[in-house]
Amino acid sequence: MKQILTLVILLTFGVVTSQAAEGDRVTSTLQASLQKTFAGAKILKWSELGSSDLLYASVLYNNERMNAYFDGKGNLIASGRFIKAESLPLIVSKSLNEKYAGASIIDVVEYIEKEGTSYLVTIHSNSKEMVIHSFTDGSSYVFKKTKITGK
Amino acid sequence: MKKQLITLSLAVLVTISSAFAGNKEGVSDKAIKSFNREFAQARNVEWDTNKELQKATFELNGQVMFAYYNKEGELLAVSRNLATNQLPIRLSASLKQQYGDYWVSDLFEMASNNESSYYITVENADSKTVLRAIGAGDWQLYKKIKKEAL
Repeated sequence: MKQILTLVILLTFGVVTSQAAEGDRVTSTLQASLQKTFAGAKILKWSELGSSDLLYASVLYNNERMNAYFDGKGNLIASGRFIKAESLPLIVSKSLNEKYAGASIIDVVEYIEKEGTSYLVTIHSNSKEMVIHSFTDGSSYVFKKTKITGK
Repeated sequence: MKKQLITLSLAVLVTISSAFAGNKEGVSDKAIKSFNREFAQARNVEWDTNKELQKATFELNGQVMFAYYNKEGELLAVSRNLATNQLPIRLSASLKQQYGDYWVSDLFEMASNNESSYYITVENADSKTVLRAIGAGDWQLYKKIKKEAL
């Protein structure tokens, strides 16, 4: 599962590329699986994720853009969308404010998989950009850290 | 179990705004100190009390929030009203599947005991239903009220 999360994050931040999925890979099972969970979702594009056997659908759901990720057998394994910082659960935002006081939140991805919902929060703090993986109980760890270089 | 009961009774109190009748008398120093420590950036703070609780209404990061304290000045819970698009997508999707024909009349998040719970009131012509989800888990029936015939 960690591998999927990594791929999803790398895709989100443009490190992994994707290409349009071949038509025969987008089976009716895939479509049904998507509609079962996200009824009424409007599919914008099917893509293959990097060199993995994963497929993902970019969809409009409740007028918001999100991605739904499927394994090679057509099972929905994860989904993700950008959300506003104000939509973070109170416990998560409180915990981040305490751990990274003074940091600016740049963007937030809500990530859902079988194990539950978690959040990938990109922050800028003291010339560093960090991606924090936060959980609904307020726990978190630094997933990625890079130094912000001046232009 | 005791904390669970407190959370449940708080949820009921939050939905009934009249439970706090604008009585600003008797807010304890402990509650005010605790609030100032916990929410140093809060603005436009107003206090209400009832027999059991002390409630602070305030603005933080552009949002109106509510903090609930017991008589001993301990923070019991923090809550805020939400728009449906602020719900975790899993909750939003299952709500649409199960209650797609209902309209939403109330939605708030309550944080206590290191976990967030969501309470949503959905209605149709016949009934008013309150659902609760702990974390971003599944909705559970919390309360259902049949509407009286007109």
